[in-house]
Amino acid sequence: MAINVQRMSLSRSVEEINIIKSDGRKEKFDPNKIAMSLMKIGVPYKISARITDMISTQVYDGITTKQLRTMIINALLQYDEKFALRYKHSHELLVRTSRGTLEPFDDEKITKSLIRECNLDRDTAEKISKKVKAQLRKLNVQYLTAPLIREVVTVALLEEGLEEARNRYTRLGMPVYDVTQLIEHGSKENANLHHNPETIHKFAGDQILKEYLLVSVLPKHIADAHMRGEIHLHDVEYYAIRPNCLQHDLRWFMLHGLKVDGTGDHTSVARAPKHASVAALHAAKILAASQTNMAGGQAFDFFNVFMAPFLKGLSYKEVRQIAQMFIYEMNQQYVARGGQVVFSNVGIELDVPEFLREEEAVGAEGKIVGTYGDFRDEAQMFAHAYLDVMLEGDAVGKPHLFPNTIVKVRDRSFRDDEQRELLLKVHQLFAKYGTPYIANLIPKWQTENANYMGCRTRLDSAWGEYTGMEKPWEATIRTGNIHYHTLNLPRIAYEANGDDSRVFDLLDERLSLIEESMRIKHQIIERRLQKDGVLPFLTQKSRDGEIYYRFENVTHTVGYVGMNEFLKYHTGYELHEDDEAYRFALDVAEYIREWTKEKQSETGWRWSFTQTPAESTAGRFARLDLRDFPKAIVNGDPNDPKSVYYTNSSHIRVSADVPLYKRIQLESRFHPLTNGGHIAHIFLGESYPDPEALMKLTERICKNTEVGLFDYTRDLTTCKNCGKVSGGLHERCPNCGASGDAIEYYSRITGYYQRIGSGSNKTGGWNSAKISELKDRKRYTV
Amino acid sequence: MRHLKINLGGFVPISTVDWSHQLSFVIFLSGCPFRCPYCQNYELLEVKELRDSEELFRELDEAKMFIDGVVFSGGEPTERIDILTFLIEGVKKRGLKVAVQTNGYYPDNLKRILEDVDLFMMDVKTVPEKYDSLVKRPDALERVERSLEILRESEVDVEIRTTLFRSLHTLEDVERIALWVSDFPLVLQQGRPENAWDEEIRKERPLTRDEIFEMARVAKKHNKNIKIRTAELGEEEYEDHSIRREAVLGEERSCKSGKRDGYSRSYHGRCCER
Ligand code: SF4
Ligand SMILES: [Zn+2]
Repeated sequence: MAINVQRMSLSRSVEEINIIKSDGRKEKFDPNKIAMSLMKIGVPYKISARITDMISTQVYDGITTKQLRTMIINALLQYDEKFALRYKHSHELLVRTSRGTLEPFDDEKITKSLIRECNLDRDTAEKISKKVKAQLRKLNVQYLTAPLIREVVTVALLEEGLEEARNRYTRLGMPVYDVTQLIEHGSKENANLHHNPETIHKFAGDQILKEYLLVSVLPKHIADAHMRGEIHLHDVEYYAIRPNCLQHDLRWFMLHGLKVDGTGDHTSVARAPKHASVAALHAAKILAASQTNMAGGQAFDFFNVFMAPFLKGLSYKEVRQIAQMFIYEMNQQYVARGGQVVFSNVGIELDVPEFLREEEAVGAEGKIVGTYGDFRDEAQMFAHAYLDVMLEGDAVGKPHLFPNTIVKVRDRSFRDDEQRELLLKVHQLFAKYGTPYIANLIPKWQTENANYMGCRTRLDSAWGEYTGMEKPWEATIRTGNIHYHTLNLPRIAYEANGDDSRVFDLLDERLSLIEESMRIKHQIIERRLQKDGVLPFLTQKSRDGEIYYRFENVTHTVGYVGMNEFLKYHTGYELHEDDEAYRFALDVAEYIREWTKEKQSETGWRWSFTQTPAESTAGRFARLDLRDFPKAIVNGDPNDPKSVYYTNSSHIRVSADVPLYKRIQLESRFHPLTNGGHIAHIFLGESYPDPEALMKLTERICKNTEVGLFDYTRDLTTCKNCGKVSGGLHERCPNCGASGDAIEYYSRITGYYQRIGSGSNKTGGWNSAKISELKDRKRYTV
Repeated sequence: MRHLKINLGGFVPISTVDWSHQLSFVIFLSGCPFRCPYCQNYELLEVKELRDSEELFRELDEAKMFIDGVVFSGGEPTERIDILTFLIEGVKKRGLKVAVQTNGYYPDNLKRILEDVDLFMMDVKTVPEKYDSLVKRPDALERVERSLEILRESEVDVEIRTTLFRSLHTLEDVERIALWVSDFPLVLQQGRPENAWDEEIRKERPLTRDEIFEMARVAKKHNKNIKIRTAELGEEEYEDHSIRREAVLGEERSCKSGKRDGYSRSYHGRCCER
């Protein structure tokens, strides 16, 4: 509606009156505009006309917008306070705050935040905020929000060429669409996590902390190397806050009691346990509480030995009940890291190891009740009970996927009847579910103690000897890996283009990036522990003020992916195809191992070389390389980039047709070099292996190869209909013929057993590169 | 060393399931006089190619450190007895044990290797009156009987195996087989219809472990040494209860000595005998 102001009785001409705008520009006074803006906020026509009239008599040349507005408000006040207020709001920039209030826009706030967050000088900051203010006025939005203002500021920064400042000023987060997708369909990248409110929160939070790492914590060249897939940083969502994993010392909590929050300030504090069942429940809670501080695996080494003093005098039935309680806790506390079970691991000793026999045994109420050597029977009884519960499976016959059970084989294990009896049970478990692991401490290169997690992370007593610890074996507990970094070896081969010395130059270059990142990680965690205090479970103290987490013993780990494809590109042969090529691969591994030793003496920190588990890295590197290097050698179908993958670490290609023992022999020679962890998988066929014969095979593998950690992996089809487990992956249950949702598939992904999917959604659980590897695996019908 | 062209149909470098509690290297020799409808290795029924024995022994040498012995399977490994004796000699020279799986059609050939074989695993496929028609060989029964006789009189270890199918074996058949070979250990194996030669059999449902367990119960009346072998739980010795199942399910058992009440036992029940 146009108002014909001409028809109103204007007392004087307004032709030559100019208004000065906030940015200094001049504009001709236009009574029409005033009338319009009044009508727009609901002022009746008559009143609008009258006020416009009145204003037109009062304006003068050179009046500012602000003065004009005050004039109008005063005029309105004489009619109706409500209109005055409305007018005020419609002409002021209002910001809706996160506290839910409306506040007037204040450009000084922007100026200050630019100075604080981006270190800009006041002049530049003011210039930007003025510019932003003008921009916002033009936008004519109903409400401004802080995020919107920030978006406009970042654009203004870019326009001024202040890219670095923009990076610091930007917001982190997710597009609305992605959040909706996440809520409605779960995460695409990480389908193995159950879709529930906890995981939704986890992924939303992960997104922010991932971006935070890349824009704010890491220097650009490291972030870029990661993005390009030259190296992989692992657990980027946790990098800036959490160390990776921890081998616990159960005795500590048996002595000092349990504070799950680490401080005892926030929730109940428990005394040292009196009863075996409480000790077992504490054990479960220790792992869960610690998981809230850490990114990766939580483990108890010597689990059955340290539990043993509590079991004195109990019947087998009672002991079994205790083991069962612990195992169910570890599979049913659905709480850690955003609604997952804890990534738990348990080291089982077949006998009390020599170095523990004279150690004081901690019993009920933290009392010393002798030495661990006195509790051999109880330790073995607990191992039996634990294995029996694992063998039974859950209520519907499925395997217990956690804890990863690491059975430690030592010198006398195959000679001693009692240990053999336990080992046979371990092999029954292999035959039925394939879930445990054998840690082989027999080879000469192994140290007094070494422990492993299912993910293969290894700690040994060499560090204890190197640093002169009184009991070197204690270097394997109360500490862990601080972080993993992984080298993309095939990428190096493509870039080196057949030139050996270039290979090593590139290795140096990538390793120095890793070193730089590792130093950053080290400093961050040190700060998080000591200054920020955000890792209270780890920094909790004993009565004498000793800190639980031995940060001084954490190890800094570098790993690798795709030795096989690296070799194939560089020499023309795969690992199993040619002796000379194979030796070159060993040289490369040796070189990296030596590098970690150098770093160890340079930094005084513990460093390790590992065979990266590469659950997603194997696929990610291959995908990126296939895109950038047309000659890339990948497994899977190159026409389906989602399916491509590199062979993990220095494993033999999973589909290679080589006999089982040859595979193990070739792979095992990398084990002495990879002190931070290694594993050899033996993928079994459908048939139900004979446990006794399988145990013989284990014995021969342990004695005749250098293998440090290995497993027999059996693909499983479980049936909810009849409760039976069958070897192999079947369309229908071989026992009762059920299909669809009644059947579920399981196998070992890299470092733990995981659900692959069900009869109706076959690949729900694994990423597509690992599914493609699963299909390729050569299985041994043993 | 002497080379020979051999009727090698394939080999499995390491197996736990072909010889009880042993790790074996399994050699498949092609050629067979029978035509069992459920044959799983029907691609080996004719000798299609010959390969150099050297190739095989090289593989065997690599496996040597990990295995207990060699199982000869097929096909019918005793059909070309010269090749078999040559191979057995090579295996023995390496200090490995020898087992031979046979259908018993060549009694005279069996005699020639009796001394050098540690275990014969001989098939008894069905009851006498169905024998010849099942394997499609008119003189099968007569020769199988002679082989059983030879084994009976020898010192060598023998295990008789019957592979069971829903459409081929009744409970009564199994009882009669058990009676027929009551002086030998008998293994009742779950047949795998999906791999059968005969299309009709391929369609049928395998016998379940529970059904085979019931057959074993009946067989046990006439034969004190019965084992069953199924995909579900592998090999189990039959007793009135299944020790293996209890072990595998981790079920509690009481121990006769009372020393370790409630321990689940290893399936061979060794716990109190130590
Ligand atoms: S005897 Fe054995 S190899 Fe010969 S046809 Fe029968 S099942 Fe097949
Ligand atoms: Zn079923």
